[in-house]
Formats: sequence, C-alpha cells, structure tokens
Amino acid sequence: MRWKKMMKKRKYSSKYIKHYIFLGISISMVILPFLWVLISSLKTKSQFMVDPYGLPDPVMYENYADAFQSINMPNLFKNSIFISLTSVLGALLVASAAAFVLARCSFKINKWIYSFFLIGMMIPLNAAIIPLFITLKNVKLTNTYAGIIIPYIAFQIPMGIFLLTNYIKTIPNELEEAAIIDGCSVVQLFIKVIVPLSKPIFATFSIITFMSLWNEFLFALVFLTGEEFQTVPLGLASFRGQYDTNTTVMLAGTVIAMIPTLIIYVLLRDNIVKGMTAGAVKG
Amino acid sequence: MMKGKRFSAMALAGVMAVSASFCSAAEVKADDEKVGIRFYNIWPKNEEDPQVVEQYKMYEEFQAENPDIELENIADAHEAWATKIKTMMAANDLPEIFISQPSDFAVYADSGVYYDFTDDLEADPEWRDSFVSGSLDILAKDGRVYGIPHTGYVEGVYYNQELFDQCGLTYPETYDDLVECVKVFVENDIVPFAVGAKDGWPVSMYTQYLMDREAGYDYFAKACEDESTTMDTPEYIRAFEKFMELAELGAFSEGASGASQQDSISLFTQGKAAMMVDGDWDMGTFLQADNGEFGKKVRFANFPSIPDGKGVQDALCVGFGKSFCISNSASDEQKEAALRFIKYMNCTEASTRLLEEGGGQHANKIADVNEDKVSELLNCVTEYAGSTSQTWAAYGEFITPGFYDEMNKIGQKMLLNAISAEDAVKELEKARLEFQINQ
Amino acid sequence: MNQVKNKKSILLFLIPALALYGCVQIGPLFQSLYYSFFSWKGFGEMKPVGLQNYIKLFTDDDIMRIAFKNTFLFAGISLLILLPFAFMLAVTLTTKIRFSKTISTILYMPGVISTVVVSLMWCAILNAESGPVNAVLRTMGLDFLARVWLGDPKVSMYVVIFVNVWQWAGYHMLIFYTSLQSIPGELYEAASIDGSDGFKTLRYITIPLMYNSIKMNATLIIIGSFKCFDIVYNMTMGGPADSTQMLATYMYHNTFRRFNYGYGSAISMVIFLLSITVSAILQKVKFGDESVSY
Repeated sequence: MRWKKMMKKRKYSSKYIKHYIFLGISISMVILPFLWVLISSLKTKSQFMVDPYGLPDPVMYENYADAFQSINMPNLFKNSIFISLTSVLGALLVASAAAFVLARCSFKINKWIYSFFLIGMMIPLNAAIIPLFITLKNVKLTNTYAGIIIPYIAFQIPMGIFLLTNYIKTIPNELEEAAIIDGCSVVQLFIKVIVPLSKPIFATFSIITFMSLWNEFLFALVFLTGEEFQTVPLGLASFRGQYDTNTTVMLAGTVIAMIPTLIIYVLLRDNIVKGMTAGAVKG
Repeated sequence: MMKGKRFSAMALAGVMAVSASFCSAAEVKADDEKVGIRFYNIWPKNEEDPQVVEQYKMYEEFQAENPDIELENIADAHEAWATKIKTMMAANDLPEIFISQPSDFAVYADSGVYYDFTDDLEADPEWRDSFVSGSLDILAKDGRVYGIPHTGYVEGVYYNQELFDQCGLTYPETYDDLVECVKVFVENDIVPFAVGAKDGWPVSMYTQYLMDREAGYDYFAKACEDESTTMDTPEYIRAFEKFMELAELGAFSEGASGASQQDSISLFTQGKAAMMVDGDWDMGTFLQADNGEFGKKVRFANFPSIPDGKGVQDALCVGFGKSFCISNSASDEQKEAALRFIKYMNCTEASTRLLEEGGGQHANKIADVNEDKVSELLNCVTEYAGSTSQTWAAYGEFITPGFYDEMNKIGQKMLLNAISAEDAVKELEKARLEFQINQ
Repeated sequence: MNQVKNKKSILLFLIPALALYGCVQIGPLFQSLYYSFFSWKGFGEMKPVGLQNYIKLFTDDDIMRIAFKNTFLFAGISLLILLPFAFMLAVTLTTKIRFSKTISTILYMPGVISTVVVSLMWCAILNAESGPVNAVLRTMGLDFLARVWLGDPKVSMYVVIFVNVWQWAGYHMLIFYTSLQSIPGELYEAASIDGSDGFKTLRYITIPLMYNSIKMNATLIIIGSFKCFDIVYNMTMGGPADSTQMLATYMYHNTFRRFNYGYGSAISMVIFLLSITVSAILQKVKFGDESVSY
C-alpha cells in the first residue's frame, strides 16, 4: 500500500516538473531582456561597449537624470496623461449613452446599428489616417489636443459599445421598472440607475482604453508634430535618434517610460485582464 | 443620488477638458511684450561637438541682446527631423523658424509655406553681399529667395594618418591605389571605410563620387532634367561595379548595414577604421574626439581619381544645404523677430565664430579669423575647396526626396551584395524616371 | 426592459456616438477611396488618374510585393508559433501548479508596455556589436550564428516577427487561459471516468469548447499584421533595403515621406478591403462544432 502511495506521489511531482520547466523557460525569456536593460542602463558608455553582461561599475544613476531631462519627460507625461484621460472620459460618456439605448430599447434597426458599430473593431487605423490628416489640416486642428482626442474617442467607441452593451444587458430590469414607476425620465434613469450599476465595466473599459491610448503611436506621430504636444511614445521614438551611441542613457529613458504603465498594470491587473480578454468566452 | 451627481460632475469635467483642448496651443505663449518664436532645427545639444556648443552660446547671446523676443529652441536628430518636417509642411503647421533643404523645397516651393526673403535682402545689401556667391540660389525660385543658406559642406575623405603610417601606406591617388590600400587594411584587421549604411544617405556619399569620377557631374545634372538622358550607361555600371568590388574586398565595416551615421563616426574616431567619406559638419567632432588626440591624426583629401573616367578627376563635392526658413503663416511680429534671429545666425561674424570652433564652411563669407583657432584640418579642407577645378553640389541635395531615397536604397543593396551592378543601374534609371522626371 | 422610449431620447443617446464614429472612422474610408483615384502631393493640384494607382500597386511595384509578402509572412508565422505556444502555456497554467497568477502576470507584461519601448529595448539587445545576443553566441563558440540582426535583409523580417511574438505571447495566452478556466471541472472528471486520456480530452472536449477564443486570437493576429506599424517603424524603418516593409509602413512611407497621397490612399484602401474580407471569412470558419455547449 505504502509503496503504491509513494509511486503516486512521485508521479505527481515529476508530472509537474515538466510544467515548471516549461513555464520557467518562458518566464526567463520575458524577464531576462528587462533585466539586461535595467543593468545596462546603469553602466557607463564605455563599460557598456565592452562588457555586455557584467554588472555596472560604477553605477551611473546620472543616466536616469540625463534621460529625464533631455527629452523633457515631465512634458511628455503631462501630455500623455491629459490626452489619455480626456479621451477615456469622452469615450465613456459617448459609448455608455449609446450602449444604454442599444441594450434596452427594441427599435427596428437596433441590431443593425449594433453591428455597424462593431465593424469598427475590424477597421485598421491605417485606412482612415490619410483623410483624417487632411481634414484636420483643413480645420487647423493638427497639432492640438482636440485634434488627437477626437479621433481617439471615435476609435474607442466600437470596443466601448461592445463591452458596455453586453454588460448592461445583464443588469436586471426590476430596478429600472421601479424607477419608471416612480416617474423617472430617460436621462434620469440612465444617470441614476444604469451608471452606478455599471461601474465595474466602466472601470474595466476605462483602464484598457487608457492603456492602449497611452501607448498609441501612429496617430500621435502624424497628428502631433509640435514639441509641446509630444506624448511619451513619440518622445521616446525621437529620443533614439539623438542617443544613437549613448545606448545606456536611451535604455534609462525606456525604463522611466515603462514604470507608469507597469505600476498601473500591477495595481489593476485583474481589471485589465478582464477587459482585454472580453470575448474569449461565449456569452 | 450621490452617485448620479458624481457622474454628472465627471461628465461636466470631461466636457470642459474637451473644450479646453480646443484652444489651439500651437500659438506660442507670448508674454504681453515679448514675441514668441519657435526655432525647429537639427542640432540637439551635444557636448562632443564644439560647433553645436558654440551655437547654443549664440542662441543665449541673441536672447540676451533681444529681450523682447522669446526664442524657443526645438531640436531633433536628423532622421526624426526629416520625417517630421515633411508632415509639418504637408499640414502647413510649421514653427516660425525651421530648417529646410533643397530637396524638400523642390516639392513644396509652390505651396506657399515659405516666406520670401528677397525684399529683406534687397533692403540690406551688406547682409546680402556677405553670402558666398551662389549660396543664395539653393532655395530660390524665379529669382526670389525662400531660404537663407546656413551650412555649407565639403564632402571628401577623412583619414587616419596614424593607421596609414602603421601599415606603411600613403593616401591613394587613384582608385587602383585605393584598392591596394583596402587590401592591406583588411589584412591588418583595420576597417578601411566606416559607413553608416542604416541611415541610407551616408552610402550615397560614396556612390556619388564613384559615379562622378566615371561619368561627370554635368551628365548627372542633365539626366535629372532631361528625360531622354538615360542613367543606364556603361559609366554608371562601372561606377557601381567598383563600389561592389570595394564591398566585396571588405572595405566597409562589418555591421555597416545596421550602423547609423553616429555609429560610423564612433568607429572612425576610435581608430578602428582608416577612412571615412564624410562632410565637414563632423569636423568639429573629429577634432575633439579622444580629448583632441584624434584631431592630430585626422587628415582630409579628395576622393581618389579614376584615370580613364569621364568626370573631372579632382572635382570636389562642395555646396550648401541646410537653410533657415520662416513659416509664412507666422504673424508679422513673429516674422520680424525671426528675421532678426536669422540675420544673427547667418552673417560674417556668426560664420567666422562657427568656423573657429571647427564648424567648417558656412554660407557667409568669413573675416578676421583667429588663426590660432583654425585647425590644420580646416586649412586643408579650405585649400582643397579653393583649388579644385570643379565643385559640385551633393547629388542628394538637389534631386527629389523620392529619387534620393531610391539612390540610398540601391547603395544599401549593393553594400550587401544583394544586387548586381547592372541591375542596380537599371533600378537607378527606373527611379530617375519615376521620381525625378515625372514629379 | 423593452419599453420603447420616445424617439427623441433614443436619438439623443445615440447621436454622439454615431456622429463621432461615422465621421471619424467610417467617413474617412470613403474619402480615402476618393483620393485613391488621384495623384496628389497633399496640397495643390489633384490630378485624376483613374485606376492607375491600383494598377501600379498590383503590377508595377516591387516594394508592394515585398510588403504583401512580409505582411502574410508575419501573419502566418505568428499564427503558427503564437497559437500553439500560447495554448500550451495556457493549458499548463490551468494544471494544479502554484503561482499561476504571478506567472501569467509576468508573461503578459510585455503586452502592456508601449511598442516603442519594446522596439528600443530589442534594438539594443540585438545590436551587432554591443548587444548580449551576439555576445552570448560568441561566448558559446557559435560565432557563425552571430549576425547583424537588424541590418541583414535575409533575417531582419524574422527578427521583427520574433519581437512581435515576444511582446504578445502573454496576451494570447491570457485569452486562451480565460476561456479554459470557464470550462467546468466536472467535464474533465466525467471524461476521465469514461476512460479518456489527456490527448483525447484535449481533442474532443477542450478545443471545441475554446472555439471562441481560438477564433479571437486568430483574428487578432491576422488583423494585427495588417496594422503592424510601430515595431517596424521604430526598429528598422522598413529597411534595410525595404526588407521589412509591410503594408501599413509602406502606406505611411508613400504618403508622408514621398508625398504620394493618392497612391498612399490606394494602399490604405487595399489594406482595408483585405482586413474586412479576412475578418468576414474568419467569422464564418468553424474551428469546431459551434453547437457544442454545456
């Protein structure tokens, strides 16, 4: 009896060793590049050129100060934060209103409109960028906050409608029916009943929208050319040209840029994952 | 309900933020008395380049002398600038002062974004005459000047005398001599030529010389104007064959195709490469490298000749490229302020100062040069520039961006031996028709 | 609640979204179509050229061919590698191992940071002279494997694909993982009681139930290859010698660097049509029996 138990136990652990090894290798492939970047960012230029994987000696904290100043990080962060936040708010406002109606009202073309919005998720940005650029140029909105926020909001609408409509549909009707009996108008219904109950999905949508806009590159590249409007990705991209041979400082810059997103990720991981995997499970 | 209020508050904040963002902050914040102007250029702060350091000093001096102007310096590396400036011009969204070059001007001359300097030049003949003859023509059309030339360039071969001595070589006079030198360098584990092929344009500095030695500048210029003058000629095939011969002998650094211009400069100043075809804009960096030690080893010479080539064999690539321009959509006060700044940076005094800091040729004539500050190297370069029988502008400067792009790419492909010389020439001809003639 | 509100309220709530979406996402598509029939520098005269842009695009543009090839290569290799790999990771995570949440968090990390950061990181890592990749190869005596990763046209595209896989493997794994977790444990128990071994379970139970997530991942990867811009722009700019040029980057190049707005619009039209077609096809394809449910 005991012999059999011991055999079982061994099978148990050896079975999972393979898993751990597999996962371990995968994790190292993710972590090692980051680790190398961190170590390298603290080296002097000369040490970096000759010693690819040793430890920094001396430790050059100055690299971080250099990176921070030379591409005007505070300005970059300020722009990215403002643009992303405003776009998120705007998208939330607009998408939730539409989602509410699509989820609750049955009118003839409801399904068509819903599908119409969803098509947007399959349209790549590239298809629209040239005409958008021309239009913005004609109304003199290139290189302004509005000029990038409006497109950002618009492109987040499909995702918002998808997430929010499906969520609102799951809210039980009784609360609304009670509110209507109490004499609520439609708008009041929306603000006082639906919105508070949708906070979880609002949070999820806001977070994933914020993160994807923070990292957005193409629109920002084309629409924001002025120094004063550069976002974090743009700043980093032009950083590269200047610091071509000063890789250590450049890497310090990338670390600085990574930190906010990583912090948000760690804190709000669950919400992010929920949002990004919506649609993976049917219904 | 409290929660409802919070949502309304959020919504209100959102609307306010959105409307705030409509305020076009593209107008520089100017204090009541000051005029704000932005200066978008290609000279980011660089402690290793004494010319750039001097320029930054000059910005500050200008600011001090002109308290009613608020000058904002926005600098990007060359590659980033090349992309952004095109988008800015397309959107007609340019900073008050911006740097432009002949190839971009060729496309946008008629768009109306460039401010016309002609009258200002007429009104200040002393300023106008301080420009080297011909320089004011580079950004000019129909007799009107749209850009004030700033940087001149002399492109030739910079070489490390020490490495030549080490291998018992003298600088090659002819192409065949060059091939011999290359072989010796390769044997001694020294990279013959440092080139930053990733950026594309550095390669063309080489190919243009070979093309010129074989066929001559006039032919190239004609082919750029006249459709029937083909570039698919035996001369150009020979030129490309020579280039590929050099590549095959190992004349170019091993990582050349992934190296940027900056990387190749490092390679050269670290003493790992013997030669580098480059312009005098990097002279200051060469002189200063290695605490000035490298400056003692570096020499300048013309590109080797090809005795039976059709070009003028001692022709040197000299010209003017980057120019200061004003955006036509700036206000009158801004234009006036911008003009003041441009005059400050583009006059005899400025030119002389920058030259003394190793900056090489500028468009304004120099005067009262402090001889002590002028390096041997600079004298050498100036002498060449003055004594050759022909000078021509870099090919890339006056052809359309599309054609230049193709030329760069063909150079890259040849470097990697990814194409034959004949095919390269055919592609060149195709690009000529598509991007130069039919623009 | 299906009570019909008055039309006014419905419109009030729908109009902002419809207007924004319509004008910014849908409208430009038609504009693009319009521009694609002209030859235009972005300002000044617009010369009508009919179908010339399209004809040239399909017959006379070598780089376009490269862009097509690269885009499909990108999609194909990503599918072949990412799908099985992400799937294996997800399956492994659902077994009774510890730290699965930490592990999945770490694996998804590259997916939350900006592609620009990822590009810069890998440029430094892959640098032929100062990067650790070549250094490690040389130390192991595998000199002949070391090459100029981003400067050699023969490998550059594969390198770019690799970096992309690195960034998104965690994300696709998460999608599979979420889907896997929703499969009730009883099904597996029932299956093993019935005598099914690991493989059979996988084939007849797990995969059909993951139909949704497989479709989602495949769609994301394929559409992603049409959109792919950031990585190429920041790592290689389409070079060297156009070897990493993709549809999206080539469109950008033609429009914003060559001032060929008409031609660029034609390319973006092609991108759009391809995306829509592929998406539609993917919607129809059955990876398993859709009627399977529990």
